[in-house]
Amino acid sequence: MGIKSVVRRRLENHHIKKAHKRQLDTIRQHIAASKENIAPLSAAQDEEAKAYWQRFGFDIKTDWHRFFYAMTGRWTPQYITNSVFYRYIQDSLNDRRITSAWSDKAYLDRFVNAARTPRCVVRNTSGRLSNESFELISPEEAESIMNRYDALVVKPALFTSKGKGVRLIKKPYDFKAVDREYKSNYVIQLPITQHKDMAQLNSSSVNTIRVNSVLLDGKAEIMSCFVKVGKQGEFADNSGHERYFIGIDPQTGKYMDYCIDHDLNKYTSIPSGFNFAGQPVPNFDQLKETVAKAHACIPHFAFAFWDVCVEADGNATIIEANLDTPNIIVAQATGFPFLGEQTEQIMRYYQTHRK
Amino acid sequence: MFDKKPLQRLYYKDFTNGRITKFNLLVRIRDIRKQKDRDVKERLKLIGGGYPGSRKEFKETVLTYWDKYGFKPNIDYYRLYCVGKDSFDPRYITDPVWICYILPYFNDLSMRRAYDDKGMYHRLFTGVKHPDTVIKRMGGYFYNGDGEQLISAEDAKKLCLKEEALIFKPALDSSKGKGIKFYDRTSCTEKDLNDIIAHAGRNFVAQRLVRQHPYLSALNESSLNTIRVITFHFKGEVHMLSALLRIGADGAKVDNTSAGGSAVPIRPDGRLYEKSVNRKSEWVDETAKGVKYRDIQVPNFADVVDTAKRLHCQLPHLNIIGWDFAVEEDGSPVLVEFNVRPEQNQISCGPTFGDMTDEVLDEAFIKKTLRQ
Repeated sequence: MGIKSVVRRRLENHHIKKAHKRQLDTIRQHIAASKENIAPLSAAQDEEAKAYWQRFGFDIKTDWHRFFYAMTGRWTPQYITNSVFYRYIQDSLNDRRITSAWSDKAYLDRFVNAARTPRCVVRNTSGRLSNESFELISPEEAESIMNRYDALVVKPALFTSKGKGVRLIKKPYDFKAVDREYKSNYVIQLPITQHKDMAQLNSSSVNTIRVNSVLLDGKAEIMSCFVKVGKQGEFADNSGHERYFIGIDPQTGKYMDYCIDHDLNKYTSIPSGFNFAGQPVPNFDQLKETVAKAHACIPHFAFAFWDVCVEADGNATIIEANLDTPNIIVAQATGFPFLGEQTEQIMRYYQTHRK
Repeated sequence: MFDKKPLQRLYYKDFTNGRITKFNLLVRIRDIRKQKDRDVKERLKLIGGGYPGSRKEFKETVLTYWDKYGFKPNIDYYRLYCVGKDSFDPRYITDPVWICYILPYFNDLSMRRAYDDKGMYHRLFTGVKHPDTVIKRMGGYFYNGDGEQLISAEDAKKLCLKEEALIFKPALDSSKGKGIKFYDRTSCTEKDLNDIIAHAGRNFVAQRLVRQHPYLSALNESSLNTIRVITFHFKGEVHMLSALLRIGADGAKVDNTSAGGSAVPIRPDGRLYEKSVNRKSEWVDETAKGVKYRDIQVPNFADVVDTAKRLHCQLPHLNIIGWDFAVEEDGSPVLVEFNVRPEQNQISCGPTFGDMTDEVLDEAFIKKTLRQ
């Protein structure tokens, strides 16, 4: 194995996070163990998928296509594999040197100033405390600011994943305890009231929509999206395993007729009992517009993966900008190819713009 | 001289971006040390050897002081810094220690690239004047002056053609005035403008020239003479470490010392010190046109310092920043750029941390309480 391959493999492993790897293994297990459940692709389909990716210089195995076809019932050669996306496309079109800084929640409102973002009342950046308008404050002042509000959300601002550490806190506040727990790089924000239609999925959590967007030739578009339904009783929508993902048609903004859990098992209902199949996401057009505006603010990234919430007034709020590791397995298992209708365009762009 | 362990930890984020091995890292550090040692030797030759203190004195004052931090600094740096002084001053910090230890400790350099982007200044800093930006290019896309509207390459060119004169600056990876291009409608054709845009790269800003204050343009008309203020966030407060006025060489368009310019330290009240120093460590007391430095008062200096301190609060993860401000005709400070790896200005302004040195070094090398 040459040095280049070692470096590439190392990079791939570095970028695919632990939870993601688990899903990767799940797919492999599904394919290896239950051959009878996952019908093989026909020879024509197999050839079509291989020929499709061969055009862009990739020799692929069609196991992924087989799995996603069985899962979604929708055949397309455009399903993309982890290795192709992470090793080649994302590495080439996103400036990875600045991902951590640009996904800093404490500065989201500055970086993505064209879109609505949650209001940060206290920010801690590398141990430095500042208020909403970036003026230095003392811990006592931070506590007095917090006391103006009945409930607040505390989140780690950097290097976060899977909703770890996201907590709703209520009066009386103990700022010192919060500071001890989160140490540095965290934000204290005003909580968001989600749209009543989104609350039907699960009322205890803020159910956010993961929107994967692409910026090509100065125009931002949505590739694929799905909604994350939190565990009942939990505040964050992406912690724990009893959570569900429902695919959304990026063209119509309607939910698919099934959902999947974290281990990629398929269901037709969710614990809240809400019948989601074919229901529209509230204000989806406005959501698309918000994401397009937000992505135009971060031109160093061809791909961005947003967590968006539809607020009670129907406006979309960008909760988080993920620029590093999208969950392409869930995105594809919930219904549509990860790169969506833009697959062809993106691949051609990759061929001309790769570094 | 170097304890390698903390270097690996501190430097990992900056140079390697998590991708390069320990070996590359150590090679890079060794190179920095060698380069800086060579520079100091050359400068000492130019000034005739520097402060002539004995090795015994050096051992008693400097080595004893630095021993508790685990360093054994090179005497050449102190000979250079203590020129014209009565004794060695151990509070001076050598360049390798500054670059390899102090800066990576206080500044999270893994964030440098994101915040150092000139195309982002309008979003990062509010409440300060920026030079009038006509177009900017970020990540290969053209934006209008305020950076909020994507425009086509053709529209960007049209906007530039309407202007009398423009300065094109690289927005990323720029230093020492490299890559700066000027466009002047009287002398440049449309083809020249096309060439400038084509060769300016994927990240640049095109700005109108700042009309500087007459006091400053009297020092050298051809360049924009900027005020370099170094601010330091320490223990919940922003301090000013040093301030310099940088003056371009006669006929030069940029004020960088590396491009032949000189730097004059500024007193706290805004008056200049008597002498300026250039890259060759030569001290001069008047400009090429015979203006005495000591007669010059930097306009609105207090406002410049206040603005730098205020802006520092808006910039996260970085505790030592070098700001470049210009002063407009009406006296208002204009943020030209900032630098997250500023040079120390010790030759012209004395020990970097002044009276705070003990406290700062204790923090950086012994207590290490900074959360990052």
